[in-house]
Amino acid sequence: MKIGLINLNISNIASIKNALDFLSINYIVLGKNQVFQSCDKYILPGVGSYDVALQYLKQSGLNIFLTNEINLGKSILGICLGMQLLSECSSESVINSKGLNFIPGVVEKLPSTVRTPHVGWNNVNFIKKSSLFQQIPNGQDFYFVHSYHYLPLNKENIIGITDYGQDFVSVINNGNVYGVQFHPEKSQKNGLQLIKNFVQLC
Amino acid sequence: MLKVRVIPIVLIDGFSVLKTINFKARRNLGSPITVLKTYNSRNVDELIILDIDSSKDSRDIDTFTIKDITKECFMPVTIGGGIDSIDKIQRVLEAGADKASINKAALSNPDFVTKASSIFGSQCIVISIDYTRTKEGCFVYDHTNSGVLKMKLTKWAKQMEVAGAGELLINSIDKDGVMNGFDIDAITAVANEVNIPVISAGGAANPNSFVEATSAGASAVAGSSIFHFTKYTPNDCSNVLNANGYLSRTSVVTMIE
Repeated sequence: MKIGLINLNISNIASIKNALDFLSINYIVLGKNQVFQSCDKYILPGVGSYDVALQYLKQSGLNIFLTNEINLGKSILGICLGMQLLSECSSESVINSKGLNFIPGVVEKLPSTVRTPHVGWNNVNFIKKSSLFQQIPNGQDFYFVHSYHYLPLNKENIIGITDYGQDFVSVINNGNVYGVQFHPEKSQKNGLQLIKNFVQLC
Repeated sequence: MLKVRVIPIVLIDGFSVLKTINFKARRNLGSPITVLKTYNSRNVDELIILDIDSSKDSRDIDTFTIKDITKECFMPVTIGGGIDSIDKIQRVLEAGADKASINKAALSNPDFVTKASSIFGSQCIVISIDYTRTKEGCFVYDHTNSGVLKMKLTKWAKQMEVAGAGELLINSIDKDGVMNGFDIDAITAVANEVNIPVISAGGAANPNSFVEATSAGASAVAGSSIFHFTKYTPNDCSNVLNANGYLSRTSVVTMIE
């Protein structure tokens, strides 16, 4: 099993690398190279800006590569900004960037009625069962740090929600495409279990 | 619901962990790796590591120690100390930190905060503000030259929010190391001034201090002396927060398998 870890060049992938190393999961980093090695599954981490990330995905050709791989049935896990990149578009964008559109939906800013960014441990409540949460009880805390949130077009794509002022979608899934708004690599035991589940079961 | 975070701060001086009182007297507490691994094994919410002499000594950041610490740290780590360039932020993040804390560099050049925030995202940028209370109120303190500035704490807090800070870490030098409670009025004033999370530091005496800081508006409460010198653990503070109606993450210590 070989994981393709996407490096957007702006995000810190050290944390996710540490988690994969700790779990003894085999991976290669895909980013600056122009010839991308095909992997069994992909992880798309992200911290930073929607526009900068998408620009990088397009300029590097990773958007096309990933689209092909997804169509071949390979699974992908988007983390934080990585999850938001799976959308059609985001209000964070200042240049009308088109997202990867693997899971129909848009990304909006969290309401100003809550402190933004949403930072810290918050619990994820399941709406649907998912292999992503094997051995993880309902209502566990994961570490969030984000200012935007995902609004999936189809309710069936919602796996988990989290309450911050009001409920927002924290886990999405559409076939072999998964997204988590929180950072599993920074969520200790449950986060590591989730990464393990993605690699072994999804 | 979002939990209140209890955050140990570890001060390092190049190679040793230390603790200050009023930013002056120092006590050496040993190796950073030992201290940090203990916190890591206790599943604390988050960690803040500040290299307090970096700015003064113009020393470069110690990426080796950062890598060592963060390699098996599966909760967020904020690193601060002499971070005054985009390159340093990049290196700190690449070494495994999740957020960079900026203090002096922001005072010298507020535009640096805007630039850093636009490149790395505000989520990565914590602005650390030292302050002291005078008769006229709370003012920003520049620790690199032991000077009280004419800038009001709340005004600087707001300016930093506008510049793109993701969070503010406010440290009371008057309360630092004396373990006699936080400056509650200062926390309230800053929490009311901004809409970004405020982490309060300086003065934690016992778990009740954490309750006071939270009810004053802090989103996260940090402590250093309390965890080095008293029997209280971060988990104790979380338990007392919960007992007082503030949701905080408690853990039964389990080994990550």
